[in-house]
Amino acid sequence: MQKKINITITALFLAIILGFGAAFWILPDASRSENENRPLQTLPPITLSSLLDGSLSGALTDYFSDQFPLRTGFVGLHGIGEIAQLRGESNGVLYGKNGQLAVRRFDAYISRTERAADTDYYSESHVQNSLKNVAHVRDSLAANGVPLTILLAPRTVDVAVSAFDYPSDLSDSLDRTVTDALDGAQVEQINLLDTFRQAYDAGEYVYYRTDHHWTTKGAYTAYAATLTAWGMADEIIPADAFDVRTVTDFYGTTYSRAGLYFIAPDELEIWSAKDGSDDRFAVKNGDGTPITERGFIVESYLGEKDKYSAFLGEARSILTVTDTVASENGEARPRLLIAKDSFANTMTPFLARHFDLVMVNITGDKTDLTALAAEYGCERVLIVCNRENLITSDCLLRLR
Amino acid sequence: MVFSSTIFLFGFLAVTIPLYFITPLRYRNWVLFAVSLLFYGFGEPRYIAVMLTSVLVAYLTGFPIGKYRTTNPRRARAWLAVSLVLNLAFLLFFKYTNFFIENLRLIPALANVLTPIEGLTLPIGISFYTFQIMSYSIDLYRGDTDTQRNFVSFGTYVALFPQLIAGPIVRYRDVNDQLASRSHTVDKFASGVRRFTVGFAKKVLLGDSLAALYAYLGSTSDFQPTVLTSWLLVLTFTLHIYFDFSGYSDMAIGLGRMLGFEFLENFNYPYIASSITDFWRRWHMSLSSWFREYVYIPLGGNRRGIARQFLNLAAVWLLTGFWHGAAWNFVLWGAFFFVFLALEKVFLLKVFDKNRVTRALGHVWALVLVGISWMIFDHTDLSEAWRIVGGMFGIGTVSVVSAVVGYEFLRALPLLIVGILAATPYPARRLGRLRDKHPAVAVCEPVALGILLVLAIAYTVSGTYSPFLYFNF
Repeated sequence: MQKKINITITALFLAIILGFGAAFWILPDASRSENENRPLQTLPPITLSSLLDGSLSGALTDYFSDQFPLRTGFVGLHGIGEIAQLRGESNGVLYGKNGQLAVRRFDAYISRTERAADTDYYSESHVQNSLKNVAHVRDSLAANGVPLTILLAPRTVDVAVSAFDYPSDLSDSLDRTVTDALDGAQVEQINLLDTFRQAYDAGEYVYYRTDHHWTTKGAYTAYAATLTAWGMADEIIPADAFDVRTVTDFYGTTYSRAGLYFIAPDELEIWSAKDGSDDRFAVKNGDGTPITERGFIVESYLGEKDKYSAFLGEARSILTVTDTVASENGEARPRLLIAKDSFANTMTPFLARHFDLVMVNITGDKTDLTALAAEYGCERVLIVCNRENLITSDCLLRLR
Repeated sequence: MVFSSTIFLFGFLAVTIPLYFITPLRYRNWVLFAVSLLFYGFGEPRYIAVMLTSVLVAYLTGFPIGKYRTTNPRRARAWLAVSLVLNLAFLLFFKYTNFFIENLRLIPALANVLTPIEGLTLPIGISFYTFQIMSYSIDLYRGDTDTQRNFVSFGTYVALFPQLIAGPIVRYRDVNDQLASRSHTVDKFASGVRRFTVGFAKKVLLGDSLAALYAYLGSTSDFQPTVLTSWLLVLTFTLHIYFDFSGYSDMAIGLGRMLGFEFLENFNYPYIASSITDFWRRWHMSLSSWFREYVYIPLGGNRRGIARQFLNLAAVWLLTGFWHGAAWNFVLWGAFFFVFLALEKVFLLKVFDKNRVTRALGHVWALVLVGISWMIFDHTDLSEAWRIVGGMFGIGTVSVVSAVVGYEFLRALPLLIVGILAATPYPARRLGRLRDKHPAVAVCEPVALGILLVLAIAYTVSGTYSPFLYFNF
């Protein structure tokens, strides 16, 4: 009996080690991992110098782990293992009711050379300094008569509180810090935390379950709140003026990070005006090359994993959105400068109906908003970015 | 190449095992020596020469040491000195030079004269293989073993990949016979697989998970230090280092068995120790017995009066600390144990041994002190260690618990409970009893091992999963 068991154990072990070892060489190599959004290591060239300086061993180690047979399956098994031990999360991503995911751990910005890796916390002083700088930018713009508004989009973990038993203390304290600092400096702020929490609790689909962005509906909520704050409430285009096209099978960034592959995908909605007016708009890169000929959607992304990028395409340092019909007719429309991250991309189709837009990437190198507003003749400036960018980067600190 | 990597398991091992077993018995040491050099050279191509020089010197000096040890002890001693000095010189140079330079630079007159050597990195495993090589030369000189005339056998002893980079430190005389002949049976191989798989699971499923928890708690503590965070830091590191290190030793012992070797045990449930003295009989046993045999006893041990005994103890423990790393915190870590071991020798062991209550007290004493010692061990900056240890008693903390750490604690509870249980002999004992009672349990063993192995592979593969996500900001 014991002999048979020992033979079975030996055979099983050898089958796994030799089987996967053989499969590794037999199966073709993949060049990219969609889930990880990065190229995979392929067989490195073996040279004497790479052997001696040790770089070959590093590359070979990466090659083995990147091209390992059933890699995605094993990552998924790890995710199941984490949930099975009641961890309630995987890779720093909370797993809550209805398959809601939310990143809880970030690399908090401490100083130019230091980050606190993988933490729920943030540097209070960095947040304060960033917002103080926003007040300076406001002053500098005000000197030219340009008003500034800031919308710091809450993170999913701030909004979907009811989906988790994870405490909201840090979300709440971050919100208090932000509100106190902006109110104290009398910077106009659009704070949507409570709005989104209530909407989320009411079952509205305002934030994705598998991606870190707000949904198109969430973006519409932000658009309406923005126009209301600017005294333009009566100009808000009602939601029922749009047709909704639903794109299924959207697996977002949070899904990729978590490696919890049993989660159901999101649906991504594209709202287009029923009157067909989307076609009037053109999105151009800063150098004038078109991103879209008509409308706001880069259709090719809808067939890829990264579907959110269908809104205005990949990140660029400067974009402009204009109403081609109006400009052909020589109509002058008010111009809005948006300093933004990708959250603003889904607000664009709504805001563009009221303003010609100049959009500058807040994490890029064009940071002098005062100069940009003057250069493009913008009469308003709106900062739209996720609170994650506030705590993990110095993007608001670098603005001028 | 670490054992818990896909390249080791499915690249190296998947080739080594078949190659080893299709090779005729008399050439198997050649295979082991060659693949071990490959294993070592893979991570340290530059330092393979250092290791080979050490091996060669010990091998060559072995001839005169063996020849003269009875006829001309003085000459034998001289050759022993050559072997020891050269081997220790490598260790001192690579491991401690910059430590000494940095400390000497604190003397103002030397600050500008000495500069640390750039690019001086520690050859992997040098602390382990140097001690193995020394055990050969010393045992030979003492007449405890005979000269190894076969270079490949000797090279295999030193470079043998299962224990090359993290021990256990195998004494030459314990494997001498096995180098010449060892048995290869399915039973032995299966027992190796059992041991390896359990060790792999200990290292990856428990050790690495606890390491991640420890890192997380550390950064949390920087933002909001609480009493609970401090205790959890001590608990998670205490469990982490045990599962990491003993898991690695299990893997080494298991791999050894697959190749026909029997290595001595390295751990014996250290956290059930009834005192610090007992702890060190159970923790990294191959290192403590090395120091006892090759430092403590040669210095006179306890045979030269109580004062000399304490001096010997102090020497052993400062060296043990320093062996673990070239930094003051390791020296302090060794001194820490010396103080408490001395106290136990003087009177505490007798106190602990009185009744059940005092025995339990001894257990708590050992656990708390070992836990605190790990904070010294893990922090070259001692103020960091003090922050955590002080925090255990409410010094410098902002509260007893915070919402986030309370949440983390509850969520990590299953892992911590499994970790605590797995650090005791009870699961193994209970499983053994169950097997004796119900033979059907034994039939489940291959399935259980298979599941453990696949899960451990999943966690290993997942560790290399690194999504690049924030591309669209």
